[in-house]
Amino acid sequence: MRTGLKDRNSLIHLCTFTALLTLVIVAFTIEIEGVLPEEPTSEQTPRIRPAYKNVVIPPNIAPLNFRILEPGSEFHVTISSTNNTGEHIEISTEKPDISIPLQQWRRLLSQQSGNEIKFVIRARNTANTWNKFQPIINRVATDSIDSHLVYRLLKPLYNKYVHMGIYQRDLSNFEESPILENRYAENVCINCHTFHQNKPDPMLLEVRNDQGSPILIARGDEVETIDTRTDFHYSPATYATWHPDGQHVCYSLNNATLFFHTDPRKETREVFDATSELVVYSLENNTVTTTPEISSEEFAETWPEWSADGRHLYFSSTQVTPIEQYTTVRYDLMRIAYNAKTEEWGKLETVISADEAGMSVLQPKASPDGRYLVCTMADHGNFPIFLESSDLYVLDLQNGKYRRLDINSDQVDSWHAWSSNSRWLVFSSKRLDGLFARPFITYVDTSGRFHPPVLLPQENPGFYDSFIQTVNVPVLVNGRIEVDQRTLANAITSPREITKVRLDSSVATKEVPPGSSTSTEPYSSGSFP
Amino acid sequence: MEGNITGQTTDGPRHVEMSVMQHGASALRILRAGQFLAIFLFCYLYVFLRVKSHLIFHVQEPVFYYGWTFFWEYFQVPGGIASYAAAFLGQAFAIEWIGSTVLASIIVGIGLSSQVYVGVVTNQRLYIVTYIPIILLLVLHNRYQYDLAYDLSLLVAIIGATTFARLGPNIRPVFLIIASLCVYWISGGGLVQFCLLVAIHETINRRYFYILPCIAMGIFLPWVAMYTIYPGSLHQAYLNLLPITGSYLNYEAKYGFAAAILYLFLPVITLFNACDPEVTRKMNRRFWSSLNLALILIGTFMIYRTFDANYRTMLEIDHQARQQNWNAVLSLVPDLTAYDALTVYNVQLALCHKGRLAKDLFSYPHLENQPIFLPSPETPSRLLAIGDYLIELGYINKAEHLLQEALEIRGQRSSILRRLVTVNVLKDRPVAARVYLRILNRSPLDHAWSQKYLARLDADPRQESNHELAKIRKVMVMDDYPGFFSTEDILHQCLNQNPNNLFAFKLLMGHYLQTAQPEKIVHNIGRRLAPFANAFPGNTLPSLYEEAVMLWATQFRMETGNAPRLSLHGRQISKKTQLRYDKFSQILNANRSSSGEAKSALAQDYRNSFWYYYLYRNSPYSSPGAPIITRATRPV
Repeated sequence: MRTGLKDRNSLIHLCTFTALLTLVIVAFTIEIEGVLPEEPTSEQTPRIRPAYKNVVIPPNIAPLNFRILEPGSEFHVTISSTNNTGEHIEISTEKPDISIPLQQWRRLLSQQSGNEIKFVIRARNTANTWNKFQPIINRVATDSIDSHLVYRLLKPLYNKYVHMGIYQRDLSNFEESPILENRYAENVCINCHTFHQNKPDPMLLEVRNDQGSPILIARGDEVETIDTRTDFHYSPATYATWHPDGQHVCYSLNNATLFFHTDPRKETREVFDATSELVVYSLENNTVTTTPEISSEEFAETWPEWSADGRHLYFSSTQVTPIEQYTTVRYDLMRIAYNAKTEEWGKLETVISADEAGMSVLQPKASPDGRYLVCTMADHGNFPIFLESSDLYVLDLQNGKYRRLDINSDQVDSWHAWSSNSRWLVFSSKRLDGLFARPFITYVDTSGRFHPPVLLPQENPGFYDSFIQTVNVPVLVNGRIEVDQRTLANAITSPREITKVRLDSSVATKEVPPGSSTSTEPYSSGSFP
Repeated sequence: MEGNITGQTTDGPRHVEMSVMQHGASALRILRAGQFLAIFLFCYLYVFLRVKSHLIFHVQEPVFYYGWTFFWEYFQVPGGIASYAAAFLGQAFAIEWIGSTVLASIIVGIGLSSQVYVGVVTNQRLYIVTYIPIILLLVLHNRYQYDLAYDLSLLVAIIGATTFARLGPNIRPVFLIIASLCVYWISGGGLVQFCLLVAIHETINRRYFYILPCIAMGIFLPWVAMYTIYPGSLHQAYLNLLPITGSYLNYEAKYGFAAAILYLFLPVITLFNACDPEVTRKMNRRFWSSLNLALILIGTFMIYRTFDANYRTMLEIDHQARQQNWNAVLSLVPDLTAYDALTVYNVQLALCHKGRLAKDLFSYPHLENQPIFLPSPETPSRLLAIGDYLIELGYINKAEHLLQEALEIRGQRSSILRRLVTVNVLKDRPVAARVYLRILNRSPLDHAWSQKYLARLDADPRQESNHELAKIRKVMVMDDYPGFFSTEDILHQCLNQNPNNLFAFKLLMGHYLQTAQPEKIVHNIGRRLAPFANAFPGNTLPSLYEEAVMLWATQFRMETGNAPRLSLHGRQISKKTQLRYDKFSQILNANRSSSGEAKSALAQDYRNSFWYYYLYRNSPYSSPGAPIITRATRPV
């Protein structure tokens, strides 16, 4: 009996508590709904960082988490389509950092593919009233971006590499994983990851070590270590490009030196190539070949890029010039016909003349659909990331006209790469702070318009505010790279077998002693009495 | 020696045990506590007064930041937790008394846990088991580079093994599996020690069947980890956080030997004690007293002998120089018995700031025939000092490069990040400066500083009101000189940019003095002295400049037969220098037949003069003076 009474009392208490709780929740909800203004109280869109405003985003991109820079003790964000249909994301927070729920975001983007979405931001001010800002409008493209971004992370401005790594980021979320960190490979320099037609497999990776600086080719779980030195050259492979047939790789052999500027308004360091050549490596025959048109002694040829159909090799070329005249060095954009089946070379052509452009034309990257070629142009030199004048230009391969892209900033914009569907371009830009390169994604519509770029979103909206590494060589790939980090590391530190490439018998050898052509002497522009 | 006796068993004869037991357990506990307190106090005072924890901090500068990301970086690799804890506790080294307490506690903790382990495993408490690890750890920490993470890894291994030994036999197999995983994840290579100690326990207790799993865990766990989750090499998977390699060795294998003894001592003494407990029981009280006394004396001697007081002085000089306490730097110089290039740079920087380089360069440590500094990233320990030189010179791009090298080689140390903040503000990149500041904002020791700086940057992005930065901006090299340059070229570039750059002028002249180039001193007095009337008041020149001028004038006369035309900007060589030069010449002439005798005769009054340096630098008669060293060592 006592137990029954107790149970009844408990039930009454529970009901009372539940009712009160419901009342509080309802009251709280009513209060928010009642107080939140429906119409904008401000003429401005709110300041947010990253500035995700008026941009076109991929339908498969991770949530654009951002930080509200407007003052407020509480914030309310609504993300929905501009016509208020479909998924509707509501976020209320006391902190200005807005983290958008992943699943809701995915639903919203999939529903609004090709449409505009609006970010409505309200902030409660010190007078306890809400400000509603003008909505921020962004558009969701219908074209997806490749699933992963591969990049190298390293600190800016050092020569003695200790910590660096190549990573992949799933663009549909925030997952980043290392492909290879050099701490597991005797701290060697690893660089210039190159993929065949945006596919994650095979992957070509270059290594700088004292065992001949090999290249690695990862196919599935197998990694091949290839010593590229031949009697023709002793320089390690530098910039590489896969032929569309997947059986040929063209890479440059750069005799590079690094030197420094003293003017603090300039980039601190610069790279100069005393000489450089291009060679083509046939994976099928394990043979390296070249032709004087791309490996002459009078010219320095670098930055190779196959055309989408593989019938032409684009590259940058300039006359070999002493380092003292480095400011006068400007590279033309050239191309040469190539038949991969017969390995025969065709005619050499100038695509963009440096003299005419008044700029050095570098890093050509052809769109996979064969329509465009985006390159970097700078007032001189060959290493855009260290040239503050570096900007992105697009060459229309149908009419041969080129133009400077509106997406450039007043800082370095460089290291660009196309998506497999040719609708997205990723590039590194120092626009945020002048020092650290960050990855930006820009939409290229069918009319050839490059839309304002989007900073790669991060889970923590303040991520870039305290990130002291630079994002180097971002490349889009359409799948996850599965090769195991240990396998890659072992291929460097203790390779089971090193494949030594053979020189095509038709290529003349050079009398260059080993080690003499890895870099020129340190450069000094003069000394004092 | 009652303190050697526990309530259960004895180090000495049984009658002593009985006697002690009569005094009661509480008295014994007090005695034991007193003894441990004494050991702790000894360790504390040793670290506080002799090693000085702020110098450990100066050398290691453990990097620790609040936040999940930083923790996760450590957490994902075996041994990372011990390293993370060491990074956190290492912050305490910056404050002398807290750092000394932390280090002493850990050292004593390892000693005590070793003793407890032996007690649990063999049922005997041997106090030498406490002393020996403590002595060895103090010897190792004398090196300043010995990582606190090694200590924590060892401590975790011993505590884990002791816990295992205390558990009942039924639960031990399960505990072994769980503890092995935990110990490996927390302490990395400490797993090897843990498994060894556990195996010894099982051996002593004649559970031979269980030895195999213990050894298997030690062997296979790192191997399995390596092939599943651990991304590093097999070598790293086994040996991470074992002091087999490390900067503390600094090419001196004997310290590696000390570390090996530290790790082997506990297994060996446990086995020894367990093999024949009667041996220890039969030893009488006098023996134990003598053994303990001898151990304390030998240990004290070892700790004393392995401590390099000169290295500490060099570290203190570097520490003071980084704080710009120039008087303190110079006051420490008399304590030096040997020095390295970094010390010379620091001392010369102090002399420069005190306006004494032109007078006292040869009275203080200097590098014969060497540039006044070398702007090279080859020696990481000097990067910060050279960075300071270059920032002050206004040679900002080079400073940035060297500081970035330092950041890459030495990690995200706050000393480097702070300087990069300065560099980026000077380069008008306040946003980049903020990136570094926001990292410092998560550091316990730099939080307040970075907060203030961020607020100041909000108000004044160029920091125009910062006098130090304004001073540097005035002399900043804005012309572009592309390439690699010698010290001399750098200093000329600085003076070309701003002829009023007094620091550059002093260093340039110091450079010519040290490289014995009197003609360039004369030339640059004529060319560059004019703007520095206030820095060199009066109508004479600093003594070493005067000496160089006198020497060059003599050389000129001897070569041409004519008196040189000197441009001294209205200044004259002082009478005192002229008289000293006459006397110097007389002594030299009087001893013309023997260079050795001339040198001896001149040494008394002219040892610190440019003339003496010019004649006898790098000569067979050159006295060694303080030997130049490239690493910490006792002077030979």
